[in-house]
Amino acid sequence: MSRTVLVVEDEANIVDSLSFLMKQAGFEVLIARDGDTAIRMMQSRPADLVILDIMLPRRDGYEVCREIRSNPDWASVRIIMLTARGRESDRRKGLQLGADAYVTKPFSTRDIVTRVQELLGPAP
Amino acid sequence: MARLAVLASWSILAVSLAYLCLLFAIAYYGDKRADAGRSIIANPYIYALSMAVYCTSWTFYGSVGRAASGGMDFLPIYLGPTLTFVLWGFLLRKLIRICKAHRITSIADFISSRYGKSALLGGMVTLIAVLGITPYIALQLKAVSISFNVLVQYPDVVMPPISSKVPVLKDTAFLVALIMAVFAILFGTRNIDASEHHEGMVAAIAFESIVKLIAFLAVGVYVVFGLYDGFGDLFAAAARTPRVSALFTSSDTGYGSWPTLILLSMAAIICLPRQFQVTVVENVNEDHLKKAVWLFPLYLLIINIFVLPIAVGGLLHFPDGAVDADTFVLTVPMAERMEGLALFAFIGGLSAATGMVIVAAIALSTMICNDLVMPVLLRLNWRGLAERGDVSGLLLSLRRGSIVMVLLLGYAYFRFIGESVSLVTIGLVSFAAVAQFAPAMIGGMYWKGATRGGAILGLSLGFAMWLYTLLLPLFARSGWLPLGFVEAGPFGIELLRPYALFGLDGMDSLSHAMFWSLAANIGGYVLGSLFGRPGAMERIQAALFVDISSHAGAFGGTSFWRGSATITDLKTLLARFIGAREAGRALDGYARTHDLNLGRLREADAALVSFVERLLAGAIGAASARVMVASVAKGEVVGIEEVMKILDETSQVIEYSHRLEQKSQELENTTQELRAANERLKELDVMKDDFISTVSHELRTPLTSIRSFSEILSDNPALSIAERERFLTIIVKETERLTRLINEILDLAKMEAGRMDWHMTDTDPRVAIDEALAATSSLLAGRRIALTLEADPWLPHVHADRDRLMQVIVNLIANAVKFCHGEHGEVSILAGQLDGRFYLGVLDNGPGVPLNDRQIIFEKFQESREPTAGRPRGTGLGLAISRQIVEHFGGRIWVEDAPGRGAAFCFTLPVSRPVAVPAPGKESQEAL
Amino acid sequence: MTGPKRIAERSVATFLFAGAAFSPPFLSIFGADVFVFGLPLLYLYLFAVWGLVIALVAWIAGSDAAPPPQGKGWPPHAKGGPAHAMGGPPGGRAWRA
Repeated sequence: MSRTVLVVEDEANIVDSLSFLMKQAGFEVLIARDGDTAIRMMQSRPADLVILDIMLPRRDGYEVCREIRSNPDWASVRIIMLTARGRESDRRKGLQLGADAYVTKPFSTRDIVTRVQELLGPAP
Repeated sequence: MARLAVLASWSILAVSLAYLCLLFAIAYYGDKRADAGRSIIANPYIYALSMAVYCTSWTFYGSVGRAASGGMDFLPIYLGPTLTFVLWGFLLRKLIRICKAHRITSIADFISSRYGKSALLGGMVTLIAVLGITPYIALQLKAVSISFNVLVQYPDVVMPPISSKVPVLKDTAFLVALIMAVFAILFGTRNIDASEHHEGMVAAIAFESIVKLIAFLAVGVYVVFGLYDGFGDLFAAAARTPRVSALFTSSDTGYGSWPTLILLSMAAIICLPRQFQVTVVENVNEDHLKKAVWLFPLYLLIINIFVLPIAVGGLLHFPDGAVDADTFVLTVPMAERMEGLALFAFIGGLSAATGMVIVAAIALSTMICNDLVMPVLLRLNWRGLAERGDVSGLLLSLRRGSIVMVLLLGYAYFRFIGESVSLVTIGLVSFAAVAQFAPAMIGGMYWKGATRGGAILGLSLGFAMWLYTLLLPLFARSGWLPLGFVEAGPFGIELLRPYALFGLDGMDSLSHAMFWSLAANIGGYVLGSLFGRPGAMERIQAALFVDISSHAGAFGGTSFWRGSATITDLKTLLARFIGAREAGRALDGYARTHDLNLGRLREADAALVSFVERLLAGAIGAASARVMVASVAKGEVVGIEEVMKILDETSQVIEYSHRLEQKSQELENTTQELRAANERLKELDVMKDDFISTVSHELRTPLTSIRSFSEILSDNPALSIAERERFLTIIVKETERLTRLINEILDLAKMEAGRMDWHMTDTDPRVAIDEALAATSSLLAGRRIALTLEADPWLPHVHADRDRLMQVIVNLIANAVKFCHGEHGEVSILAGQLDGRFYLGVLDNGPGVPLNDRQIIFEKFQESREPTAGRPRGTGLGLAISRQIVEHFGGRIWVEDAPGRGAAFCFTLPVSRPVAVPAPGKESQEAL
Repeated sequence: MTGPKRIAERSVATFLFAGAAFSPPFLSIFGADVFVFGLPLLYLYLFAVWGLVIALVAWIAGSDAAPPPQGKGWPPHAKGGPAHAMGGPPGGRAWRA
């Protein structure tokens, strides 16, 4: 069974590029455009890894991250925070909330694919 | 016949006495209320009415007489007080403050006190005042006596016989003088302390002012509306009689006497002892002045309205000149058989006369007692006055005696001089006498350098001139001096003719006298002051008077005692002049407010000594009080150098503390400003941080897409053509977005920094709208949105930068397109005029803007964060830029609910050129 | 509220205006043999100007807000000193015979 990546991002073109990259790397891709949808999708079908943008409508990335980490069922879920804000304080905040990695936009496509593969380990 | 009995002499007497008793009842009630602490006079209206004691028989009878021969010449005497009152803020207020601070009781006391508590000056002023006012009192006696004698002849209108042929005891004027003396004594000498308010008297005077006003107006209204059919009719009748009509156009002296009369009455309103009494001494609250300064002139205006009409009416009624014009107020109603009105007019005249006589007599008696008799008695050490005995009884007797004396003097003047001259002439002589006080008085309030010597010299010279150029000729004209004295000059010396002194000819006698007396007075005053050396006391008093506002709080004391006196001595002294009970009460009051135990203290300190001196000054005048206190105080007056030093130091300390206060206030303000600036800086810092982070976010977003797809394209050469094209399109679009964003950020930064290049011209908004529609057509491509334009055919031009105006419209359209309904989008543009301004609104049918967001959506990057999936994304700067532009053009931009559903973004701009052609209708244009 | 300086300026201006309006040249001009509303012109002129001056004084005095000087105490002599001198005993009524 292929592993799933949930892309949470409101900017259509970025979603487009990420889903292309993840599919190409062999992952199944789920897409949520805002925080609420992301949580609902996790509840119906938990993903193995979440690429989480911070500036989201309704519920922002930090809240989604906190929600995922507070649920023991999702303890194994990996989280990559994605942000366009370059501030160190944002980065620290993300990592404190339990994100596994923090990637700043604009990202290198190879880099983000590598990060995802590293976090999920070799395919079973 | 019962009709005639109304004006029988006994009934007139009865009514008059009843009226005087009513006055006394009012005064009694006023005093009772004052004792109970519920004053009836403590308001500006009573205060202003009491000032109307200015209007005497002179006004009531004399003005009409004057108007009958001189037209409007009666008026300047009432314009002068108005002019003085215009300057109340400089003169009256300062005068009142000085007098309150020094417990000054009269004008003599004022001048004496100012020039070093000089007993000589006080005496001189008193003497001049008594000599000057005596004719004035005579005038009142003459008016009452004549009016009575005219009235008893009713129904005949006959002028009474010359009273000097009647024995004194049968002379009405003599009886009137005695009755008035009794009333003045009853009203005015109930208290020892002359600086105390005579509340009852003031109440009675105010009442009299009302009575005389109503009586005069009643006669006036009767003449104008009863005898004639209004003013127009009266003056028209007068215009047909050449002798009468001449009154309206010319004056005796071609108005040459007006400046003199105005100046004279300007001085009189503060220098007349009775005006000084009611305006300054009887003032209970300085604030009342603010209303009285216009109420009193208003009273004067009202009472003078009917003077000319009554004079005209009288002249037309008695064309043969057999009736004295001074009696018209009485004789016109009499001739018309209006006995009730005639009696009322008589009571009005009586009111005017008694009011003046009572106040003048009280004021003069205070001056005579405090500034003339007491200093002399003290100097002569009469009956050991300074050593022992209760003299409060003596003081009262002195005051009462002076009142009787003043009235008898007035009667004597009337008897010997008054018959031959008109009321107004007598009054003007008095005015000229008291005007001599003006230089010393006003100069003393503003010129520290003025000295006692100068004041004495000025007053003596001015008074001598008055005597020589005004009073002596009057005596000559009455037959008491040879007439040749006036016509050829004394001993035939032409140069010394009193009406043409030193050859000064061609002026009316009053102006002539005023010129010489004031010239001599002011000259003597100024030169005497400049070439003399002021004494210690003079310099102290000068500083205290002139700088009243800076010293009032610090030094109310009128002398500076280094030494001290025993409390027992002071108490004994006080008791002798104001009575033991009053003395005890006053000292107890002082002890209470100053937290002293007088029983245990033996020695009184300097402050208490000063307090006693001021208290005494209220009873016996400043000069006498000083002598008395000096007799018991062991120490001596502090040396001049020391006192001046104290005064200087006080001024310096006040000045210094004032500056200190200012400085600390400034410091406080600066601190506040700094704190605010700091807060603002912090805020700005946070905002800048937020802004940079937001800008960074906004720039990184398109950049992310561009980089990702570029790398994807570069790493995947095997992609299908279709996919390749799709990715390339995204890259192009995002690059455009990035470019737009950078441009807008730069624009906004320039606008905010004020470095934008604006090309402001007279712009037709129609062109900008058309260009904006063309520029946004691509936005609509492929979307189901109906865009309509509804514009007035003639739009007003605006002063704007056309490209920027277009940019605003494009932004608003783009915004509307973005948010309008997804399925049936409708965007309409309305353009026209609103309240004289150019108006443009862009309406959509989208979700609208919540009330809370209506302000902030015009901030940078504050576009609504609602999901906009599938819609073109803006930069978040469009509205912020639009606002900057519109505000730069002097307009306003806002958002409101569109009719039905959606948002309406609107702006207005000031019009540079209004529409030339009125819009006949609306034109509608379908853009899509 | 109007400042004391402005009050003073207005007062002086009003004074000068009234002084000029009541000066012989103006009186001669208005002393013409003319009737307005049935009234002699001079009579009308004098009372109109007078009324205007009174109205101005009322307005100027009404706009003056300066408190009487008693309101400001002088701290250095707060007690025992002559600071009390201004008003005499409370109400000034203590010595009535």
